[in-house]
Amino acid sequence: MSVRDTLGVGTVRRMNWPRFLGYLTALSLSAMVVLPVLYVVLATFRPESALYSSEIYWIPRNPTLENWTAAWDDIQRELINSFIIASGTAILSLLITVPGAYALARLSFPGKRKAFFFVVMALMFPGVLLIGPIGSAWRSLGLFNTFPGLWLAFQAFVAPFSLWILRDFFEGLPDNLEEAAMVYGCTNVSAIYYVIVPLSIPAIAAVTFLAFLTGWNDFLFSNLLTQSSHRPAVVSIFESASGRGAIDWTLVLSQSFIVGAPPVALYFLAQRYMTETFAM
Amino acid sequence: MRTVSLRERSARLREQIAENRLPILLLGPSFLSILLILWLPFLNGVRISFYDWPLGGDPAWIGSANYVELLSDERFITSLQATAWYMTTTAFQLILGLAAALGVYQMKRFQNVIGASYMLGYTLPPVIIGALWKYILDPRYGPFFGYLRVLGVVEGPVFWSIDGTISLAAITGVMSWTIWPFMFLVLFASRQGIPDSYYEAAKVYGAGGWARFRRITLPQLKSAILVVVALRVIWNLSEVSQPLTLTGGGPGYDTSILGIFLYRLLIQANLGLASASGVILFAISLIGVVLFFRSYSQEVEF
Repeated sequence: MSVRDTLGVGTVRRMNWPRFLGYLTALSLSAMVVLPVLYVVLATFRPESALYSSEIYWIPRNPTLENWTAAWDDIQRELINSFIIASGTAILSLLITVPGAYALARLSFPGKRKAFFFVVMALMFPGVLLIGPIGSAWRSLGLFNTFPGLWLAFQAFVAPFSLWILRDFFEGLPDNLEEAAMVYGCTNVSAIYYVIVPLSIPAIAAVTFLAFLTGWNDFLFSNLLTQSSHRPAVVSIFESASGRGAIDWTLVLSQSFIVGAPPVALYFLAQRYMTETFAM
Repeated sequence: MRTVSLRERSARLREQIAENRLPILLLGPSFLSILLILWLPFLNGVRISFYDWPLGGDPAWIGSANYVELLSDERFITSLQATAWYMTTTAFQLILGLAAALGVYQMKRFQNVIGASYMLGYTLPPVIIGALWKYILDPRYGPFFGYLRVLGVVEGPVFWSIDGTISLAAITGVMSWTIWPFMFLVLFASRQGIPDSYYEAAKVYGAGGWARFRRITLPQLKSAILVVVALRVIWNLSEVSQPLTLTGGGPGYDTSILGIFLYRLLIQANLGLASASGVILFAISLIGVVLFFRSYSQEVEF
């Protein structure tokens, strides 16, 4: 940008083509994401029969909340299951990966590069392969259809990713923090808890969010490692939406948004931390 | 070669453990979980692929029979073809993500709002993406074909779920719609890292918009592009919940990309055959892994 533009003294405003095209692209892509979702959100406020109308319209006529109340009544237990599964996954992953990432970032020991390589390799792993073997192992270990079984199974995806992000963040912190903490009476382990962790809240929030998201959103593991009593909400939606026959859209669509709301809301809450973390 | 006695060696090992007690303790849980939950089940899966292993039944060693059966199974060949077509989604994701990254970079205001709006589809659970698009693409009352009817592109309802080609296009499209924001996130961050002075210098030498894009933007983004493409090749292969909800892998096996093929075998409790197709999926995804490490190690020192 030239000085003249900044001061606004240009006599003739020339069309800034890159900027114009940039806005156009960015806004059309935003419309492409938001509009389909918005159309369906609005449709859930229609009376039941109007969901099955071949007429296309956006603003619901005779809007009603009936679909939502019916959907809500039908999915509460599964939502609680989802919540237990997702929070447990997040908490367990922090307990496992915060110390691990700390060692990878701030301690020196032989084989450190290889150790990190081992973590990145795990990141590259196609998770769908593990369902069969883990399913069969969990059956013999008594972990099948239990919450801890899912908490553990999800660590296969969550732990490598958290280790990767946290290590990057921990490495960026100033060098002599631990020494300073030890002057004030910390041991080398308690320094992690009192100094490193509080300084790393953005990164910890980001990995907690991603772990929660994995536990909340995942379908394949949840479906094949649980039965009815422990099923999370996405599995129940899959069952009502994936049939080849008639689908009860009144229920499925409202439930979809009930189940989809927490991850989206959490994303917007965690967004500030995510940007801080990934910007490093 | 000097021989080292066993006692000497074990003493040295003990000494090393004592010296590195803290890193071992701190890394222990991470390493154990990756070993026990990832590599051990994976190796076990490779072993299972050589067995006739009905879930809950008695396994019997059958050598490579599962692989032979797969490769002579027409449904598996259909699945491989579907996978090849489906993987074009990676290219669509890249094009959309790159366009968005460069577009948003040009914006002076509202960058955050627009960037956040992109994440709506990416953060929704995959099953829910599948369900939403199943309604949007419904032949009778979905808005997609509704608008096509209004525009006169099609007449009457299109019952696409019985047509393999349209179904494959549908899952590829929905997957591209879902995932491109991931590419955007990474590429936008990299675009922000290119110093403005490069572009100013190029302007001084008279480089036009296209030349600046080809000579500065693309080369500067090259390693980021390689990294996201490699990651997505692997993850697109194994993230199958959206297409599974949308088509269930049908009609027949026409949209049963490898991950869905594997899932369907698991549902049929055929663990041996499922594991064999998993090993083949793994072999294919190794292409992505190699690409990743070649580009990643160029950029980052391990």
